[in-house]
Amino acid sequence: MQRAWLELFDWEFVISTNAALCQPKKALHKPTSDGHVRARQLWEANHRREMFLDEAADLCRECHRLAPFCNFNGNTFAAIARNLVHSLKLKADQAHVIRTLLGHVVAGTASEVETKELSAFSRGLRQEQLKKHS
Amino acid sequence: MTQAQRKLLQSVVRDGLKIQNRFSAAPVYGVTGKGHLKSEGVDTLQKIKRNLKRRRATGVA
Repeated sequence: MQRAWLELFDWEFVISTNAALCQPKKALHKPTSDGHVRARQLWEANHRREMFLDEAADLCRECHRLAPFCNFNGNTFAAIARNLVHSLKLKADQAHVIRTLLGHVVAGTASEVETKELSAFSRGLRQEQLKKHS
Repeated sequence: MTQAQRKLLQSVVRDGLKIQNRFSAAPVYGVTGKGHLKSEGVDTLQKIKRNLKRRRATGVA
């Protein structure tokens, strides 16, 4: 099932997430000179698009790799991707597994098996597995 | 930012802070092409399973 998983997460949202995650560690929250523009363009061109869940994770991974911010890029995009699980009707243990898979994919540490597992799960999702008002 | 987005932001940041210690602050993935994420171990999953088991047992009793 494809849907606009990242529709609500506009670039302003991404910036606010990174700012909030940098603040407790007093880490510098600032756009990078090389990655910020490219990541923003990639995000804005795609985040409203209907896609499979694993494609949404891959967009987050790609933006993480482009490093739009000086600090906590992985933390920012992984937190966004992991949040997508909230819109699914899953048992707690299954939700944990999917959240973990999403985190690994976005962090760029997922094995081939984990990537395939997330892809299979994403493509097998049905409309009835979505929570209402999500 | 809309009301829905503000609520969503709180939820994303709450989870992000919980997992922050597993990430490197520096842009490692962008520089090396290799991601970094500290393992969280199996504690969380075991805790979830224990809770589910307890809830099931309570439901039956």
